[in-house]
Amino acid sequence: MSTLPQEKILPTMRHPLENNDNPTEMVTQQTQKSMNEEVVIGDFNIIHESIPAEGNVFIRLKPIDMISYWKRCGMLADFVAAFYGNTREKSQVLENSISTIFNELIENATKYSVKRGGEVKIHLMLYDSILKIEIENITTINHYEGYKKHVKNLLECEDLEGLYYQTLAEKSDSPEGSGIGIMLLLKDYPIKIGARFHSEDGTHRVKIQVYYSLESA
Amino acid sequence: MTLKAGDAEVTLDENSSSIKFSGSMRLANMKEYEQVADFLKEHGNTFDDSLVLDFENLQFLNSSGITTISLFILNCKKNGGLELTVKGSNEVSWQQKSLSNFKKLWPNIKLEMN
Repeated sequence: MSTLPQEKILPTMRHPLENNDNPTEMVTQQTQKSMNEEVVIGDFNIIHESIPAEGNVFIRLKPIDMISYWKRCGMLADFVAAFYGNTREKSQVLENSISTIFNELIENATKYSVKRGGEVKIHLMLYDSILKIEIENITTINHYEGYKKHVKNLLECEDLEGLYYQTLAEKSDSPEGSGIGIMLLLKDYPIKIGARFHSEDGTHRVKIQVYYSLESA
Repeated sequence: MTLKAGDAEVTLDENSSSIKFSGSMRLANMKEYEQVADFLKEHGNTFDDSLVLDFENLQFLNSSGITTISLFILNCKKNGGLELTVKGSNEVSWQQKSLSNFKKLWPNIKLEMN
């Protein structure tokens, strides 16, 4: 994705935890109690949220709304796709791409949210032709740790194709979870992904950012 | 014979020796996809030595669905003896991106993109 306006806007506005030079390096800050941490992986905040966006949409929802009626994940994905996709050329292909990307993110965020007190925060920002999709949810400690490891492995992997087919082959022996959503996005779509894992006082937050060029469809 | 799976339909079409997918298939997890896996397993051998999986009218398939289809293809590869064709559309993004993955799983697959 060559059109990300990183160089223009990043040098003077970098977040302390940003790590654009090495997208797979992990930064950990231990704060207060030993269990508290903030871990940033991959292309997180390559366009910082403090930079004014041309498009700016917030959505907050309770995971139970999606879990109780699963089609709402797809409905929301189609809405986001239409909102930012149908003003462009090749809008059908573009909307299908945005919907597919967003759907994987919202399915993950709702499926793995804590059952009670959960909340999913969605922030959509448009910078010229770059759509920044940010989704945050609160999850269990087990999923938090497992997902952190999974995302880190994906973003450090030098052979995603190989890992994808290896994962599928292993699924044929034990087809429980899918586990290939983010992997498929990284492998097949021209996107950049960053993640922040933030644990504090027993609350475990996962924030995923995806950057997608609307000109890449 | 047609299976309704969420907002999608999976139809056995004897005239074209194919299993046709249409609508939007975004079921919640692998367990919900068992019905689709069972349908493919039950009807995949209907036409003896050839089968077309036609996705042209399927607007969306989430990663659990892609995993389900991939596992069916891996099983066909393991059993051998089936000439498998996968049909898709370049106008549908997920098909444009992901159907070629099926051929990488089993290079014997004939991939037809319209």
